[in-house]
Amino acid sequence: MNQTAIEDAKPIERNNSDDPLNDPNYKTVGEVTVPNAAMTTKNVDVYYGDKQAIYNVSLDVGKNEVLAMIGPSGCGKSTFLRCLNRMNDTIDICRIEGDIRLDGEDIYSRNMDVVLLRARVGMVFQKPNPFPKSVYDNVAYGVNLHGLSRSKSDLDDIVEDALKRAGLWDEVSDRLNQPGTGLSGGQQQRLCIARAIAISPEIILMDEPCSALDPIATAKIEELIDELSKHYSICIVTHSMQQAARVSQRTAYFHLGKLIEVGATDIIFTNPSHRLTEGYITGRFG
Amino acid sequence: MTILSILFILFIVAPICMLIALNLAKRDRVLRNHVERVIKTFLIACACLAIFTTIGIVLSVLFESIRFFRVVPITDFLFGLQWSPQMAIREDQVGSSGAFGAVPLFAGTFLITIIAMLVAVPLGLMSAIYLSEYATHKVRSFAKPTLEILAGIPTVVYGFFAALTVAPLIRDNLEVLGFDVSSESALAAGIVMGVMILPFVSSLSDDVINAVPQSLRDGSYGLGATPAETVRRVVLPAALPGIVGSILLAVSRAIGETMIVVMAAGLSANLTANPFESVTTVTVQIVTLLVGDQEFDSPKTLAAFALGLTLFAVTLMLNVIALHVVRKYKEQYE
Amino acid sequence: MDQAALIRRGLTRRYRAEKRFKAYGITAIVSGVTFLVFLLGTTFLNGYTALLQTYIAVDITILDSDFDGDLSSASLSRGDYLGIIKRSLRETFPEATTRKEKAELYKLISSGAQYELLEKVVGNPEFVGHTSMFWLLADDEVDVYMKGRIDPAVPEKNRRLKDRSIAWIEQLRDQDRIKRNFNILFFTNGDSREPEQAGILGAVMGSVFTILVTMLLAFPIGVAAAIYLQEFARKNRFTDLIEVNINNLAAVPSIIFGLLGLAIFLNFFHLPRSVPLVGGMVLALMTLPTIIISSRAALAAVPPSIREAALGVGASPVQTVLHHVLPLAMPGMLTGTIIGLAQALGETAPLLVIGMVAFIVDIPSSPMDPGTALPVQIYLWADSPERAFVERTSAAIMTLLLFLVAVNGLIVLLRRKFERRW
Repeated sequence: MNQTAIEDAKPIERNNSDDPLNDPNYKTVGEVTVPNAAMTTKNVDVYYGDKQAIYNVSLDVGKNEVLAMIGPSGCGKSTFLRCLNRMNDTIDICRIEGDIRLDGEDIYSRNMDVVLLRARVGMVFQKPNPFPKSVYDNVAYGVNLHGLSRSKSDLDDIVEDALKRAGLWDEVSDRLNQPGTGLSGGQQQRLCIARAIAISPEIILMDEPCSALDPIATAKIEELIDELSKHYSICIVTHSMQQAARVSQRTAYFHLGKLIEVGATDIIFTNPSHRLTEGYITGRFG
Repeated sequence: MTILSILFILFIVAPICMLIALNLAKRDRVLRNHVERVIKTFLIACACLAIFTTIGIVLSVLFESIRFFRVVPITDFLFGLQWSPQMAIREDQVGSSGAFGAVPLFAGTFLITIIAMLVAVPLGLMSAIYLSEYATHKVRSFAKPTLEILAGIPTVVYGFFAALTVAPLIRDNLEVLGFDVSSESALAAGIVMGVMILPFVSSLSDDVINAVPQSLRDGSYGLGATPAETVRRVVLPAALPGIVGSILLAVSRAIGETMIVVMAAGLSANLTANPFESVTTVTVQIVTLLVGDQEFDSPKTLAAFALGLTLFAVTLMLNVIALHVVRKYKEQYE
Repeated sequence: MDQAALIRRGLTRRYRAEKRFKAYGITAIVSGVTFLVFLLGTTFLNGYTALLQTYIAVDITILDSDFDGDLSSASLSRGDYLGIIKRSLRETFPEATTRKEKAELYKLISSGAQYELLEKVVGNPEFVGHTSMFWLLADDEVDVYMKGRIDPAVPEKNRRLKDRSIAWIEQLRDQDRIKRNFNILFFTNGDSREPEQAGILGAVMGSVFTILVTMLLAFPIGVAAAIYLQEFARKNRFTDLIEVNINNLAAVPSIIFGLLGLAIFLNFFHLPRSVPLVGGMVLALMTLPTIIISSRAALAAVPPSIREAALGVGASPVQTVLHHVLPLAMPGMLTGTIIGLAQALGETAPLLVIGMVAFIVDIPSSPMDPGTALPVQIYLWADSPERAFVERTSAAIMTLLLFLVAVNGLIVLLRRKFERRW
């Protein structure tokens, strides 16, 4: 943690000691920027109709890091995650203000193509959602959409590589032509991860990827996340603090639409600066 | 008048009496049980009426058909190429019976059904897709009820419209292009029937498409697919069994549709695949054979029942398959 | 290889496909809506003129000698009014001399005019012995011409109204002796071979009786069957069979129900042909599945807590259902029934098969009188060659649609008023 961040934090902490949530210009505790950011967000507000869901959030995602977002239900962490690859576009009443940049490009600008954006920012969902197609076709789906393979054998290689990276190849190599929906829950989720990495995204967003899985399957996915962070930047929303502690290098704590605190994971979990973070970590609410 | 009063007593007076009796027997448990047993028997009898109706349909068409097949061999009926019930074509034939080869009717029914489905399936499916995947709330709340109005218009209205407006329109326009079009062309009847079935296909497909979980769409969008790609590559394949079921139900409806073809298709049994010519259908012939004064035992009237039996068997088969497919499909996503 | 560049290369093509796909959807909806507008529009344009009917003013001299006897009501009723009208027409247009010309002249006036004249004279014998102006019902061809639907430019041999008649009509028009009135006959008469005398009241009454019978049968039976299947039936093979049966019956073509009615009600039970009673019975069997299915849905929507509460205070299962569940499910059941009845109201094919297509002039006054129904009347008129029946068919269609709109309005109203979400 650098010095300025802590110095910044203290006066803010004092100013809002009554209730930081009443302050519309609340400033996050901790360093929100990172030196080698894959994605930067500045002053993001999200509205659903008249209701504001996200207040003035700024947060960077570093290259090859795992960033965990935690917070009680309804705190806006998933909403924020879905802003990063414009999944909220599909909701008519959703309005987003602020500045979100991928490699310096504003992703909400006219020049940014949403198809291209989503190819560069992949997503894994809460419930495993393999398409009702074969395992092979599930992984090949994105590759075919974007025309990324030059030949059938090229495609075979991509699919095999993606499945291997997702740690699924050994389990499914003999049943590539069977429906993906026939796999177990954990396998399905890894299939969805393979589907996402088959088109080589720069960032992978994961929205509570283990909430529907049993502990063993969860452990496998967590291992996989660790492995994947060598090649990709990963942004994971989770409601399990243990999981955030296990897989992430940096943790962001959200509360009622505000980003309360960001910091290195070990610090957030051992020595949080903000009393709300501390309250959540110690289990006083959540 | 007696029948009327019997029905009245059975289905209006009796239930009311039972309700009153139930109230009177409030205190006496034995009496109450008796009354309740009577009420339950009445309820069961009413539920069984559905079975009796089916049995009644089967028996009535089957018996008359069997009598018909005694006069006209079943193979002549199913495979004969000539249909002219009005005149005797062989001298040794009994009475005034004519030729009862139903193949031209089957072919005509088939032709008109195909034309109807060519109109109804693309239009119905595309409107369902547009309404469920693209339309804003405002468009949806206007377009959906409007299409449903089409479903509420009585078929006799479509028939009149087909005969009076659409058929001449098609004939005149195609004649300009040098085609020879009958004023009772299969095309006109088929197109109008297609429009009649359109809302049916669209609302059934809409149900089926909406049953596809949103998470599948999200998965596809998350990989960078456009809405059209998502619909074509994920939603439609996932909904395919349900859509096939809906189309089968629509086909069954087209085959059984009567008034449009009675008013807009022809009477003469042409064996042709040319949509510009006039063809006749099974339902048209049933109506033609039965309307007007006729003695009940002539092969002519009995032929109508044989046609009815064929119609019933085919539509029943389609319905059973379709309902089964749709139910299995819905269970999959529950 | 730059992946972003690779993706970008395909984007134009993909977005074009996207636009095309969306355009297909819009086209589909627009064509559906266009067809509807086209259908309703042509029906209205063809039909609204049927609300007006042409009348011709003729000076009619009624002589004592036209009647035998004492000019009592009885003797006045026996008069040859057709002859009187013909004579007056000859006096008005003396230029008609040959037989052909005279025949053409007489055809300006409807054959029904003589009965109107009879009624007026019997009602007011003072007309006898005087010349007075009567407005007489014009023939349908004259009516059609007055509505501008006959083009005088068409070669004479291709139209039924000849040049000479047209000249007479124009002459009458110049003298203000021809006018169009509200066509009250259309709403008060039964069917007729003469378009200008044909009305829809007979068909409307037939439909009313038919639907009444359908309702009285289908509603109690449907509700009872639904109660049994939803509330009492144990899940076993037999109830499964009933259920599959009902679902299939709902999809059986309506004409098959007509065959059922013909074979069972007419030939086996020897009920009379062409009566609304039989029509209503057949339509009741046809609408039963619809009513049962929607009534079951209404019962299923009542939360179990209501049943548990009633059973908990000691009500028997039958009392629970009849006193507590049924009243709550009633709005839904009524809605389902009305939907079924709306279907039955527009149904034609089964009625044709059971003989409700007879030409019946008299207006039925009970479900046992021979009658027809509104949709069947549309079919009959659509089949008639006279040009004037086109507008009447369209007007009958408008009437039928109006009934359906009213029925559907009732459904919306019911839903608004009683709909409850648990």
